[in-house]
Amino acid sequence: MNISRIQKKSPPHIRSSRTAPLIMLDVIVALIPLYIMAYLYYGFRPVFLGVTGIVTCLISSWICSLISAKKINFYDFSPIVTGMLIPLLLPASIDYSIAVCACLFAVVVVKYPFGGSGCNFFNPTAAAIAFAAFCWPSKIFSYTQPLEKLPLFENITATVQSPAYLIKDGALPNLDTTDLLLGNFAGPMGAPYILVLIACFLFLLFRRVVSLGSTLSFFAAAALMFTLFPRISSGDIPTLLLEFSSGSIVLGGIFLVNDPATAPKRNVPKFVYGFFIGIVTVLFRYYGGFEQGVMFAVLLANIFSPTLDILYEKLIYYVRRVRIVKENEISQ
Amino acid sequence: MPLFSKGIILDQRKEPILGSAILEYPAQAQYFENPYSDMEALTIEQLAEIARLANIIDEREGKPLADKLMFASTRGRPYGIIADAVDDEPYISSQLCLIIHKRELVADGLLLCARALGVKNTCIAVYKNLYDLSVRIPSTVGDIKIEKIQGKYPAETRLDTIWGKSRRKLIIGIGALVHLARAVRENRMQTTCFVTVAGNCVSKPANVELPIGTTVADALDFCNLGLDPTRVAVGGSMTGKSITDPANYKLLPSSRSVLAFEDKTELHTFNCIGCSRCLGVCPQKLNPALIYKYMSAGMLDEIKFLDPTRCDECGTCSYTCPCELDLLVAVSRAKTYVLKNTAPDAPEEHKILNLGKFPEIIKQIFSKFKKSKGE
Repeated sequence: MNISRIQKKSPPHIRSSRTAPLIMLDVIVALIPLYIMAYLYYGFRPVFLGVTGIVTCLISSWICSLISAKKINFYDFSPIVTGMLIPLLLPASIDYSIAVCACLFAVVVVKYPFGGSGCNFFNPTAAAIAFAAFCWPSKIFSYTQPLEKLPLFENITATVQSPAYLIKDGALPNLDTTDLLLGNFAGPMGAPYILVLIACFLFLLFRRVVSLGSTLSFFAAAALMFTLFPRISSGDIPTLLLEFSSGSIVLGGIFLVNDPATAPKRNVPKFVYGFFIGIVTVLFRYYGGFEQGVMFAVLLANIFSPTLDILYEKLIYYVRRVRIVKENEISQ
Repeated sequence: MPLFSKGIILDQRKEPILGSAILEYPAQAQYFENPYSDMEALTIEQLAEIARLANIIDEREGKPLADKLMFASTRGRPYGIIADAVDDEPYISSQLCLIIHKRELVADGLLLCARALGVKNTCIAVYKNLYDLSVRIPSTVGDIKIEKIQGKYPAETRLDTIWGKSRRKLIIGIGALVHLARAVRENRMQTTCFVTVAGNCVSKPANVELPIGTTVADALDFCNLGLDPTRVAVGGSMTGKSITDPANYKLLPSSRSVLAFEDKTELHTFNCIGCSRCLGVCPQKLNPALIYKYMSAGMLDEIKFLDPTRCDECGTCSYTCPCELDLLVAVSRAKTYVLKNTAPDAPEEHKILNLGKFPEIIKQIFSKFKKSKGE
């Protein structure tokens, strides 16, 4: 026996086969149907936007890790997830340069200064969209009609407003329930397809990539706010469906709220986190300057998530101590 | 509720070792002189004396069986005796194989103990989630019932839930019972231990009855080492100890397995991605990821809030970690740190970590609250 190869290793001596690249691959698989939907509605331009996002994020993250004197980790697929998510929250008619800028902002400003994937305090996707919304508000929030194939490489002047903007303006969009469910209206290129998004969520839930707690509490809080303080009195279509499908609430609730690096870790803080995002999102949509609010709410909640975790950890600690003291008293 | 217990479900990988017979390493049996004649009416002192003469060591804790028996008898009669054949770690079946291949000796040893202690309840504990076995585990061995422990890994910590938690019971390793039966019936001393030799480098994995003191290298050679291993572990695939010089490491009665693995070369290094899987599986409901972060950041004063002293060192956190971080190492380091600094003889400047202080504060707050309410 050749003992020169034997090394001292710490237990356990077997490891789970579900490694981090596989988890990220699951998210990528869940994002592909959204690109297919975007392709059906807008042609090849969304797909090219997605490829641009992926390439930008990957190359910039490799350069960043070289600058920070780390070995490039070719198995880290999280830049791909970021690069796929950012275009989905933008309109299909967006200029390629804006998508590239947003992706660069996500990787270079939000992610790598804090130490790369897993160490970021803010969700890179939400931060990138917020950045783009502040820099190019007219481009980010104007769309084209779906089912019109867009030209691939030309810059497009989009003029159509999304239903979310109309609602904010006090008007009632002229849509029926089927259109709302299928996403057949102007909006971000990956966000309006509620049925597809729910299927993606179920897939991720089944693969245990996302947790039920934060997403459900987020939707519950948003639904509560929309029902308690309705701003439109719709005739035929349900208000809730209109509000949920018009913005990027569902996409954000599934992919932004559940970002593992920035969300709290235990169930109770997750619940609080989701609830907070839900309420703040609706407030942003009602009173904010823009028609959408998920990304801003997620960024705001990201600040509190480590604190929530630590506070809950201390609470558990105290509860355990009190229980121990009580048990000791009983046994005495 | 064992079904909803935290933990992980592991691929057991006990086949084909469990189905095939126990191999015997060529060795000389040693005998001792039995001072007693009536083997059916042994008192607990006599049985303990035989266990002492035969040098029987319980493989559960590595303690002499005689001491355990005497300790149990001095504390009064226990409610029942449990023979531990849980073997919930993958690859290992050195206890489970005794139920299948040496069942008469197991039953005999357990009944001898029960008769000597005057105990009626006996059972053999087996892990239930062994779904990939081709051998059927019997439901009884002789008259003794086999209790199946449900739930996820680690199941060995739930042994005391049999017959209710409050009842006192004596838990003996099943290997020690086999050796006890041999000592009583054949006057044979314990010179061997039952060891599983397995791993992806071993070409003929098997359960072997090895003499105590055999080196790990000999044990591996006995089972035909196919590849050169990069990792050799003694004692279990989840909790075992990694060794570097198999030619000099000698097997103890408590070492239940010898495993030789060839690891994949490490291609990727990840930071913690915060997936919170380790929190979900920890049977003690700890936060291994945060402990790992605090330990690597050197925030030692904050670590007491995370209660690392509760850790069982079962290894579920490291097993599930998708980033392959050494969470268990961090948690056990934190555990030793907190234990050291909360000990009564710890230096005064570290006494901030005293765990007893906080309930007092809470009590005071509660009492103040009550007073103000009463007024």
